[in-house]
Amino acid sequence: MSLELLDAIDDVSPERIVARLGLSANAPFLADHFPGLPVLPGVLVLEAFVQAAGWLAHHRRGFARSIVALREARHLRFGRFVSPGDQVTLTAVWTGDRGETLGFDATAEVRGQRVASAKLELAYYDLSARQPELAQVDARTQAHNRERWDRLIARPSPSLPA
Amino acid sequence: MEWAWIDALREAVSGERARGVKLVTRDLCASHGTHPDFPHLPAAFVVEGAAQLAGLLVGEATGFARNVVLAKVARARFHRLALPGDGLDFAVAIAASSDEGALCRARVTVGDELLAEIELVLDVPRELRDPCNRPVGVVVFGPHNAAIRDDFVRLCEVARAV
Amino acid sequence: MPPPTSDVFDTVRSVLVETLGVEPEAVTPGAVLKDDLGAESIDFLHIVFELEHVFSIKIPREELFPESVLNNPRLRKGGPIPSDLLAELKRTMPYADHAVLDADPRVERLSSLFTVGAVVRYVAGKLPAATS
Repeated sequence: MSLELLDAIDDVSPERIVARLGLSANAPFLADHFPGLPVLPGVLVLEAFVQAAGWLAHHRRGFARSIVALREARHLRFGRFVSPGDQVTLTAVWTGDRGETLGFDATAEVRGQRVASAKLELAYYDLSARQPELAQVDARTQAHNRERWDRLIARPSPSLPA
Repeated sequence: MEWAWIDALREAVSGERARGVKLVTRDLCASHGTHPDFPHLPAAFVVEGAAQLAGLLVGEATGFARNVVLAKVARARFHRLALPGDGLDFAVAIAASSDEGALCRARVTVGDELLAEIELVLDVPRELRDPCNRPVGVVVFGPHNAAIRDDFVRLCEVARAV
Repeated sequence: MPPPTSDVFDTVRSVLVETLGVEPEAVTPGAVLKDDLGAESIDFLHIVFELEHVFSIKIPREELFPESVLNNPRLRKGGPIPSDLLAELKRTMPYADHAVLDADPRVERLSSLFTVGAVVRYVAGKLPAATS
């Protein structure tokens, strides 16, 4: 089990990724957030931003490194709430590199209305760069990243055979 | 509780500051992370811990009679990852407040090491509405977090008695 | 110790860069906080908190960014601002930039009141008599 927030990738290019996140009524955190007003916690939009931008980082760098981690989020503003039944469109745009750190601007919308926006800096690295004994962990993580991406990006046809 | 990102409180001074802890379990990293070969708790959940502690602090100052909502993460800078076995110590202080909201600053440490510095703007809206535009009452504070609120109040009393 | 008046602009600029995530070059005296610098409702609150902290001043609710004046029910979207309300805006916000509204008194143009210069003038007016 893991927290795969992105339901689908709608578009990816070297500069931009567009993904979808749907909020379903039976999401486990809704019971507490909040009783009587079930809404998507803002930090899950942040995590979705990190996941989407992380895929763009992998796409840009050819999955060369295993770890994507948030170094800094700035100016993360929340707009309208996201309620069950809302489909969120997430967009992350690459804004430049500073060594092993990649910058992104991210936005989230529901039906054209802004849900959130943020500026992110992601660290993109291998564990073995500082800990050579962890090369195997990097290798396994890289393989896992590629598998997750293949699953996300695949578009099997929904039609049933005739 | 599904969406509890502070496990226990350690200190509370009404209207000023509070401290709390969150234990990073292997299980939590597995269910909320996306790197099974390198389990760690994604940064977004550390932001949520800070937001929940700040929410208690600002909420208590209103007697828990108003909703307190995370409106903006001005800045969240991460210096290290949260690994299984880590005990995250959150220290949050109100930097400024009014009857409309508050600016809070948080430091998250693991032992002597700084994990994150987080600056949050919390909104204390006069009214909150559901997706059908009906006003809802106080939903952020209720039976689901009665225990931790009671604990917060108790710690404030302890601080006053000193 | 509050900074001398000549440094107020620099300090306000650094607050706006920090709170709005804009480049320093974008923060010119005539820049409108909402239209030019992307400020939203929560940012106005953030700006007030940071200005209070950095300048050691107290900014009472409704004084710098008076919501109740701006949300007056007589102000209808797409309509003109009644002249008595225009006069009240001038009276309650002497520090604000009234030039655009004077020429084009439509509700849509209300945001033009709040420029970087307006914030600088407001803050300078709140500081104790400073050496220039």
